[in-house]
Amino acid sequence: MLWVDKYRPKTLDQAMVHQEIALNLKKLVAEQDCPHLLFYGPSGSGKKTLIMALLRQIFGPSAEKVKVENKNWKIDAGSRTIDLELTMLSSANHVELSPSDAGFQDRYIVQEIIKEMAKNRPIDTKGKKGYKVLILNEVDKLSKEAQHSLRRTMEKYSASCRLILCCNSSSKVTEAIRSRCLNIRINAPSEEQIIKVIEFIGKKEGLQLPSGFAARIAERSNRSLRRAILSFETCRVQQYPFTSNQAILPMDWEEYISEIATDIMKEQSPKRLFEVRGKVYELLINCIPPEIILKRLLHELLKKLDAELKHEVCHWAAYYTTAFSTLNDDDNDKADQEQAMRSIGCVLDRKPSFILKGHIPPFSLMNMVLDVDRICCQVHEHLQGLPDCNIWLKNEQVSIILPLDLLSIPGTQFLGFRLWASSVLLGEVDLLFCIRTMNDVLGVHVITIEQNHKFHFLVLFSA
Amino acid sequence: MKAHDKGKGNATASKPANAAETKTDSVPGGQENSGRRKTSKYFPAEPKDEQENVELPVKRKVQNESSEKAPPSKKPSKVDVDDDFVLPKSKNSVDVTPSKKLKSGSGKGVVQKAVDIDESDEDDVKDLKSPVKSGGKIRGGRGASKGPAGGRGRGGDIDESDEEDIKDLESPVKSGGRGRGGRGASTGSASGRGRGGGRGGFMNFGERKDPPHKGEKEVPEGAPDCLTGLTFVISGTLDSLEREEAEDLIKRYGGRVTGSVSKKTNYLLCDEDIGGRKSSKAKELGFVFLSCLKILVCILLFLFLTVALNFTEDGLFDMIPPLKGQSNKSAVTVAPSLPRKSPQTDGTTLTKSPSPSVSSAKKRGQPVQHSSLPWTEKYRPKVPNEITGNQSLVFKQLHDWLTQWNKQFLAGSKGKGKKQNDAGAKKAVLLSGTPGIGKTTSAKLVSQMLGFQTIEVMLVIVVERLTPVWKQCKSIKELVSNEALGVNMDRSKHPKTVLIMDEVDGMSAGDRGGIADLIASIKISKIPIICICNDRYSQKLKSLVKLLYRKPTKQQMAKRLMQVANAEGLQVNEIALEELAERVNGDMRMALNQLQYMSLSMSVINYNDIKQRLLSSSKDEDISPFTAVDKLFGFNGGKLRMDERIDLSMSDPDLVPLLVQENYINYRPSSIGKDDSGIKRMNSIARAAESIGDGDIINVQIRRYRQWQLSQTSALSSCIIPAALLHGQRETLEQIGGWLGKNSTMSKNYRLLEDFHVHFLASRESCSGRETLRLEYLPILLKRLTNPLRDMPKRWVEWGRGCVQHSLQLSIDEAVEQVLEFMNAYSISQEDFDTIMELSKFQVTLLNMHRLSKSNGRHSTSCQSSTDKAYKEGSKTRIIRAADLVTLPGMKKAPKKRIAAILEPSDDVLGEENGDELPENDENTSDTEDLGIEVQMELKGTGNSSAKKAPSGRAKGGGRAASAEKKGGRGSGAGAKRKR
Repeated sequence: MLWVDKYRPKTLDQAMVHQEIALNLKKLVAEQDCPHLLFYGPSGSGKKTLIMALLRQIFGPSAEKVKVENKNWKIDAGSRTIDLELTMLSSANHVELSPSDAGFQDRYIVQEIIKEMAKNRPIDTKGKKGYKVLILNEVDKLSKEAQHSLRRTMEKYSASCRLILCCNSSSKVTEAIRSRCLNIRINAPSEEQIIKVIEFIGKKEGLQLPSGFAARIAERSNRSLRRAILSFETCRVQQYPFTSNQAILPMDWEEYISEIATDIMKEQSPKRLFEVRGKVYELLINCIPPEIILKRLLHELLKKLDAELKHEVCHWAAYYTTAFSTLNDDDNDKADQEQAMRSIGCVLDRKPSFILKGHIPPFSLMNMVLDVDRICCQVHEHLQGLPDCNIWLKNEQVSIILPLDLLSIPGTQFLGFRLWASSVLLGEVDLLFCIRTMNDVLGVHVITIEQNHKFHFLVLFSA
Repeated sequence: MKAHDKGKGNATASKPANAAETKTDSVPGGQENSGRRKTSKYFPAEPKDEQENVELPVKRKVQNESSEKAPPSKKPSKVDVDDDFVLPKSKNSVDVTPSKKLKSGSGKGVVQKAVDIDESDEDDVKDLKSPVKSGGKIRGGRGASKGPAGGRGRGGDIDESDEEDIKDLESPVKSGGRGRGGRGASTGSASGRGRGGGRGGFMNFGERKDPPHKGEKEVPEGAPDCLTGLTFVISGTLDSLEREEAEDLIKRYGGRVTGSVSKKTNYLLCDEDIGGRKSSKAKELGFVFLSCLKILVCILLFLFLTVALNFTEDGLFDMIPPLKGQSNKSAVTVAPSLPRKSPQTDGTTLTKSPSPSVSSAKKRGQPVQHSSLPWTEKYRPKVPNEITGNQSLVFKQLHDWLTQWNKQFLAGSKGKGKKQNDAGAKKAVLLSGTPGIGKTTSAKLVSQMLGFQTIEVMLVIVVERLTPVWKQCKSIKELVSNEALGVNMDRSKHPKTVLIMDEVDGMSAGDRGGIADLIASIKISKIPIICICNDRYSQKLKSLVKLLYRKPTKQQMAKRLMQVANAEGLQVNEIALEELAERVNGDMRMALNQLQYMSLSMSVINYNDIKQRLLSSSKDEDISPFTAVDKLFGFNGGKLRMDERIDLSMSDPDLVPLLVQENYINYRPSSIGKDDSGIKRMNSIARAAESIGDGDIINVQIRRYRQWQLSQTSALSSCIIPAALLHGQRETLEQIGGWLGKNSTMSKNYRLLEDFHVHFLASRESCSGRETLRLEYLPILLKRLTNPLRDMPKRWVEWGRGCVQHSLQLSIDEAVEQVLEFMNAYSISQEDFDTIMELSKFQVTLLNMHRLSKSNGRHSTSCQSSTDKAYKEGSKTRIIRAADLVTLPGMKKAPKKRIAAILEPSDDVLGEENGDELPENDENTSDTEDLGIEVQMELKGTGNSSAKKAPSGRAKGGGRAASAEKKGGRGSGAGAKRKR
C-alpha cells in the first residue's frame, strides 16, 4: 500500500496537521447536530482526510464500509428524461460523489440525489444520527445553475440530510451557499509540518533519512502533503539508501510541460507552434486537465521569461485559464478541450514582444512578510489617489471595487497597482487569476485578495 | 500608380512634342484615380500607395530633371537594341493590334467604355513620356509596363532608385540593367523591368515561396483580349505576383493558362527558377532558354523564339498593351510575341467573326428559329456528337448496353440465365452524376438513336405528391410487364421500348420499400430500364449497372457554349466561356441559362463580365467544410464578400471552426507583405488565435444558453477573422492535427481512467479524486508496478551468473509477487495496469534521455527477463480482485464470461512458462466453474505465502485466492468485502 494511504490519519485524533481544526470538528459533532460544512483549501492540504475522519467520528467504523456504485439516474426534467450515469461511493450513512462529472447536467443530479436521500431517511435511530451525509466534491466546478438549485434543496431537506462540500477555491462557490455552510478553511501545511510528517513516516518505515532530504522534498512539494509523501515514496522506490543529493524527480507530466516551455522559449515560429500544439494534445490525451497544463506551463514560463514579460504572460494565462474554467461544465465536450487548446494556443502564440511601460511602485514587496492587514493597508495607500475606489476587509478577504475605465487607461496608477498586485503574486503564488467575463458591461471589477497563507494570495478580477 | 503621376509630370514637360495626344492629357485627375481604383480592385490595395504619393514630389522633380537630360544619351543605344529584337515580329503584330483597338474602342458596353477612357488616358500619358524617356518610340506597351517599374522603388528605396535612374539615363550601358527606361521586350533579357533594382538580394527561391517583391510592382492595365489565343504555363515563383494573381491577369486579358507544357504552349512564364519539371519538358519540346547575361541585375528571359517564349512576369506585363496607343507603337508592343499563326487565327474567329461558326451551326442543321425557347431546350443536343463530355466513356457504354440488351434479352428470352457477370448482362443501367450534365439527354438520345420508344417516368413528382411509392411501383411493374407484353405481341408496331426513370434517388425520400420494389420490377422487366440519379452511392441502387457521368471539362463545355453563342450571335471569347464553365461547376444547363440571361443585356461578353456576374450568382454547390476552409483561407479569401464568408463558415458551423483551428497556422498570410523575421506573421497568428478563443466563448453561449442569435458572431470570430488575418498561401507544416482522433483517444483514456478510479476507490484504501489520481498517484503507481519487475531480475543476474536459470526464475517470481501484492492492495486489475501504462505513455516520447536509456538498457541487457516479465504480466490476470466484485449496474456482463476472458491468456502463458500447467489449469477452470459454491475464504496472505514456496504453487495460490475472494464478494452482495 502506498504510504500516503497507509499513514493517512483514520480518526480526528490522529491528525498530524491541522490538529486544531480536527479538535474543533470533533467538538462540533459531539456536542450538537452537525451543520452543513464547506471545506476549502488547496489540494493536498488534507480536506478529504479530515472529512473521512469526521465521518468516522460521526458514524463510527461503519462509515468505512463503502461500496462503489455506478448508478444510472433517470431524471424527469419536464418534457424529457435525462439519463445520467455517475459513480458514487456510499455507505449506510453517507454518499459521496462529484456532481461536476455530469457536465452541464449537474444540477439535475444535485437535486435528484438529495431528494432521494431525503426519501430514504435512515430508520435505525438507535443512538445514531437521524441524518445521512452527502459529500459533494469539487463544488467549485459546479455550474452556477447547479449551485442555485443546491441552495434550495439544501434548506428543504436539511432535516434528513447534511451536506459536506469540498472544493479548492471558495470564491467559485456562490455567496448563498457559503452562507449556508460552516466554512472551514484548510490551509496548506507548512513546510515544517511536512518535514515532520515525512520524518515520521521515515521512522515508521525504518528508513535512514539524510539530513536535509526531507526539507528538500517538502520544498519541492509545493506544500502539498500528499505530493510530498508520494514523492518521498517515489524516491524510495527509485533508490533506497538515500543519498543526500538524490534527485527528486518531478511528475512525468510536469517534466513534459517544462519541455514544452523550453520549446516555446527557444523559438517562436509557426512551426514551433505546431509542435507545441502537438505536445499539448499529447498531454490532454493523457488526461491531464487543461487548467493544470496551463498553470504549470505558466509556472515554467515564468522561470524563464524576462521580468517585464511576466506580467503580460501572467495576465493572458489567467485570462484563458478562467475562460476555460467558465466553459468547464459545458455540454459540448469538444468545446471543452477545444477551448483549452485554443487558449493555450493563444498564450503561446503571443510573441513576447510586449514591453510593459509604466511606473513600477518604488517599493519591492517581494521579500516583505505580508499579512492581510498589511496588504490592505498597502492597497489602500496605493489606491488613495484613485477616484471611486472602494476597499474593504471582510472575512480575511480584501475586496476592492474599481471602475472599469481605470483598467483601460494605461499609465495610470491603476497600472501601477496591477503591476504591484501581480508582482506580489508572482513571487509567491502559483497563479494570478484574472477573470474577464464577456460582459464587461457591468463596469465593475472586483479584486479579491484572499488570505491563503502567509505567502499565498489569490487575486481575482471578476465581474 | 506612381507611374501615372510620374507620367503626368513628364507629360507636361513633353507635351509639345506629342501634339496628337494633348487632348487626353487634359483629363482631370479624378478619372485617373478611378482608373487606379480599378486596378486595385483586382489586386489587394497596396498599402504603400499613400507613402508613394507623399514621396512623389521629390521623385517627380528628379524625373523631370532626368528626362530633360536623358534623350541625347539614351536614344541611340536603345533604338539599336530595339530594332534588333523587334523587327522580326513586328509584321505580325501590326495586323493584330489595330483590329483590337477598333474593337475595344467600339463594341464595349457603357461600363467598359468608362474604363477605357481611364485606361487610354493613362496610356497616353505614358506614351507621351516614353519618347522622351527611353527614346524607343516603338513601344506603346511600354508605357503600361512602366507602371510597375515605377512602383518598384519602395519606401526608403525610392531615393536611391531615383538616383540610379539618373545614372542610368546618363550612362547607356547601365540603362538596360536598371530596367527602368529600357522597357521589357526591347532590351530583352537584359532589362526585364527591375525587380527591386536587382540589388535586393538575388536568391534562389524554392518552389512556391512568397513572391520576393510581392505587391511592389504595379499591374498594368491593358487592352482587353490582348493575350487572346496565347497559352501560358506558369512555373516557379514569380517576381511580384502570386501565381493565382498571374493566372487571373492572364485570363482577364484573354489568355489561357494551362498546367503543363505542351506543344500548344506559347509562353512559359517563370522567374529565375528555371530547372523544374516544366522547364525541362519545355526544353524537350524545343523551347530554347537563353541564360541571361546580367543575372544579378535583372531576371530573365524575355525571349521570343519562333516556337515559344520563356519570360518573366514583366514580360507578361509588357504583353498587356495599352488600350489606345498610337497605332504604330502599340502595334509593336503587342507584338513582343509570338508564333502568331494559330493564336491569331483563334483570336479572330473567337472574337470577331461569328459568321463561320454560325454557318457551321447551320451546317449542323440547327436553324435558329424558335428563339422563344429557353436555350437549354433549344440547344439540347440532338445528335450524339453534340453531347458535351463523357462521349467515349459513358455514351458508348450506354449505347453498347442498349444494343446488347436487345440481343440478350429480346432474342434470348428462352436462353435465360446466361452468364450474368459482364456489365452488358444487367437489365437496367444507372446513370449518375451531378445535375445538369446531360444524363437525361443522353439517355434519350441513345434510345432514339437505336430506335427505342422512350417512356419517361419522373419518380420525384410522384413522391412529392405523396403518392405511396409502392403504388407507383406497382404501376411501373404493370408498365414493365405490359410493355413486355407489347413487345412480345406487336413487335412490329413498337419494336423496342425503353423505360427511363428519372431521379431514382428521390424515391428513397419517401418510401424505403420503393427502391426494393423497383429492383424487383427491374428483375422481371422485359424492357431495358435506364435509371437516372444524382447520388450513385445510394445503398439500394447497388444492383444496377453503374455509369458515372463525369463533369465535362471546361474546354468541352466552352466549345459547346461557343457554338451556342455563335448561333445566337453573341460575342464571347473562349476564355470567358471557360470561366463560365468553371464557375457553374460543370452544369451545362446552368451555364446555358446564365448565358441566355446575359445575352439579354449585352452582346459582347468578356471574362470580366462573367467573373463579375457569377460572383453573385455562382452555383450553390454543396460545400464541404474542407472546401469552405480552403476558400476562406485561399488566395482569394480576401476578396470574398462578407455574406459569402458567413455562408462559407456556416456551411458546417461545427466542423468549419474546427478545421480553421487546425489549419490556421499553416497559412502564409498574404496580407502582411514582406516579413523577414516572421514577427508579423506570428502577430497575425496570435490575433487569429485570440479570435478563435473568443469564438469558443460565444459558442458556449450558443450551445448552453441557446443564444442562437449569436451564431453569426461566432462564425465571425471563429472563422472569418482568422481567415481574414491569415488567408494566403498554404504551406504544410508537419501534420500533427487530427483533433477528432485525438479527442476520441482522450475520451477513451478518460473512460479507462474512470474505470481505474472506480477500482481504486473500491479498494477503500484511498478516496482521492480522479484528477488527483492521474496527476499525483500515477507516477508512483507506475513505479511500484514496474520497477520490481525491471530491477529485480537484473539484480539477480548481476548477482549470480552461475546459477542464472534457477535464481532468475526465483527472482522474477519474487518481483511478480511484490507487484501482485501491490495490485491487490489497490484492486488494480490487468486492464487498469494497461491503463496506467497507457496514460504514462508519453513518457516514452520525452526527450528525457536518461529515462529512455534506462528503459532501453532494460530491454537490451535482459531480454530474457523482460520477455519473462511479459509472461508474468499475463499470469497476473488470474488474480481476480475485489473490484471485479463490485456490482456495476452499468455493465451487466456475466461475471463468468469475464473471468473466463481474463483467464484465457494466462493459460497460454502458463503453458510456455513452466511444466506444471496442467494442475493449474484444472484449478482455474474448476474455480471458475463452481462459482456458485461457497468456498471458504482464503486469506490472501496464505495464498501469497504458498506462492513463495515454489513458483508453480504461487500462481496457483494466487489464482485461488482471487477466486475465493470473488465468491466472498458475491456472497455478501454488498460488493467488495475483503477479509484481511
